[in-house]
Amino acid sequence: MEVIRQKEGKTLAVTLKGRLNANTAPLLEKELFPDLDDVCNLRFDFSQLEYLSSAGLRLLLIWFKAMVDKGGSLRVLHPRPEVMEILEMTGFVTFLPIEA
Amino acid sequence: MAPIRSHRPQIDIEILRKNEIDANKALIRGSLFTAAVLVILLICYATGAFKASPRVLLNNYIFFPIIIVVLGTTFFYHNTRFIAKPGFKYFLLSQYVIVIFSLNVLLPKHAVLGWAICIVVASLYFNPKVTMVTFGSVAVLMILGIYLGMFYGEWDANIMNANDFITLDGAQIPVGETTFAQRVAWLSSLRANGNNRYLLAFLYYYLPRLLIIAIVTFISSALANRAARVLKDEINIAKTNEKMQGELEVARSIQASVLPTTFPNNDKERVYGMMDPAKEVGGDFYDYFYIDDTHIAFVIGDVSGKGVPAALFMMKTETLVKSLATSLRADTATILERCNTALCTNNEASMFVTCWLGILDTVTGELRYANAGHNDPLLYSGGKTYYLKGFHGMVLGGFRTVKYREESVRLQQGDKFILYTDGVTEAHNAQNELFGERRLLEFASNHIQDGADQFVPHLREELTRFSEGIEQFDDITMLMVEFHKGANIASSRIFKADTSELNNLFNYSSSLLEILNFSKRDITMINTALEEVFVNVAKYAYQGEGAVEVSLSNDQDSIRFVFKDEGTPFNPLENPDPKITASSDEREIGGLGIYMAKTIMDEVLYEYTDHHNVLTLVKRRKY
Repeated sequence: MEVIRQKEGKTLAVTLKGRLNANTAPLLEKELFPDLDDVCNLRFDFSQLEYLSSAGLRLLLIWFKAMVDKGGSLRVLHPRPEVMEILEMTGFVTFLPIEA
Repeated sequence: MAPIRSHRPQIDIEILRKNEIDANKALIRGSLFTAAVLVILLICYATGAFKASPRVLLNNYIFFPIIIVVLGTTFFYHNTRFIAKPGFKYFLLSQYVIVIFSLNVLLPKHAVLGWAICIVVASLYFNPKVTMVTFGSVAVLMILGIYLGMFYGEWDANIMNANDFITLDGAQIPVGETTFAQRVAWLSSLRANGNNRYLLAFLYYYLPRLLIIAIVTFISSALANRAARVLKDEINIAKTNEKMQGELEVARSIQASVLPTTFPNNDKERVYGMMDPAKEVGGDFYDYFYIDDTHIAFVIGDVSGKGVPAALFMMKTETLVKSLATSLRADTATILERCNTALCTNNEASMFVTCWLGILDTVTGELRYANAGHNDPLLYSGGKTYYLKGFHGMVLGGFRTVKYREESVRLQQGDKFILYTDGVTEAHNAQNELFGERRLLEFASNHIQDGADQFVPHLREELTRFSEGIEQFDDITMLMVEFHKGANIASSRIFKADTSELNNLFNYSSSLLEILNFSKRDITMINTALEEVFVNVAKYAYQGEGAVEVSLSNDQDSIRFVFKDEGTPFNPLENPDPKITASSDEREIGGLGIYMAKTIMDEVLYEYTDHHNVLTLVKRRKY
């Protein structure tokens, strides 16, 4: 998985390429963790994310809660149909702001 | 029965034992014949045809050995329990020697040939010891017989002259007609006058005869030794033959074990093959083997020549084709080219092999094949049976730089093909006609509807009928394959129960799902479900390291994954589903994965059997 980060003030934009699964989720967590202290807005560009499993959902949930606690938000942008299907299936669409 | 000494091969004992029994039988026949001669003599004496004195003594005396010989030998003749005993020959020989001894006493002047016969029969045993023992007893008994003969036996010109008369009461009586006591008195008086007939009998009667017997013994022993040597050579040849035969049997079983004898008989494909060598081992081979989950290779070959050299070359070729086909993953022409190159290297015996190699895609039915000088296979397709003509490359093992050409044919549901060697088409009948391609095609057309496991044995029977009375000339080998579309995959692989194996799992499942024409999106979704289940096992099943076996199978409507692990019994389906309508605050991540798997798949089942957690996921195809 490839991670591209772009930080503007308190907003961190992350573009994910490839698969976010049980193997790559811990790597992503480790990679983003140091940056998250002063971030209260997270934007995930999922347009190139091919695959999302519960390990990735777990990160989305943790970070979503953290951002909400800081008064910010976590948004998911342009998920592909497969990923969208996962988000719908798991009910994440009910709380996660998603932009098509 | 005496235990067989271990250092002496069984076959040695067998042949020597057989010889001894033969010799025993010969000796018994000889004894009976001799006894018959004695009976005739006895009758002659009893009727007065021959002169002898005293007749009564002779009569009584001679009866004894005759009874022994006639009764004894006829009793033992058919009794193999005795006849096979090592000591029996001594019994027979001593009996024979006693008969000759009695003849000697009776007829001193004719007995010497009888003693010679003793030596000759003793040498039948091919045993110097037996001959020497017999010679010794002959030497002793002969002298005894000579002296007894002087008093009892018929008048003998060598001991007593024709003009020897005994004067009794003034009358002169010929020695031959005198009694024992009269002869003793007479011989004693002669001796007193310096005419020692005892000494003369020893020097001029016994010794020359002993010399003759010794010569006979010498010649007989030489003959016996010669015969024993021939027998030993025969034993060695027999032993070598037996050893060779034993080794050939081993070779035969090794060769047979290389060729497959169990055949798939499932919905996917039915295969049946056989190799019937003309000699113990053959130069033909056939094989089928999976290259991967959806490709099966079929190969048939025929090495030039027959017997052991062909068998060795056959083993080499078979192994090469199989290993090249499974390792190269190349097209059939390339496989044959590489095989040819390898066979050309160090091909001192200049052997070659014809070979046909085909690789069948079990999903699409595409049969790709290349031919190295082998007979064209028979194909049944579209309701017709015909020869699958194609490019004939050079035989394998001929030249190093040969090129082959791959061709292909698309098999449909129920199509069949038959591979065979020229042992089929070149089977002869009594009129020296070949079975031929025409007859083969005719037979195949009429019987193609039979299953492979019936067709092949039927064709073999047909060939036996055709070649009735003719020895099988060449190895006969056939392999028949039926193709059934709607290919099913049944595959399984073992993974470490560790998330680092996820990519391997995806590669494995994706490759199979692609073969089964699942869409990319379906594959992604199914893989997500597989990941959730796999991660669950990886995290919770084992304390330390463990393994999980993932197997995949399908039928027309669905695909089925089975995860098997030996970890702690745990049913993930028992956990309640997460509330997916809950807000983020109430959310917990646990249970989400299994929920996803359940949602993506159409069926998820758990059972704990035989110390295994078994989780089955079924996805139905949607059309």
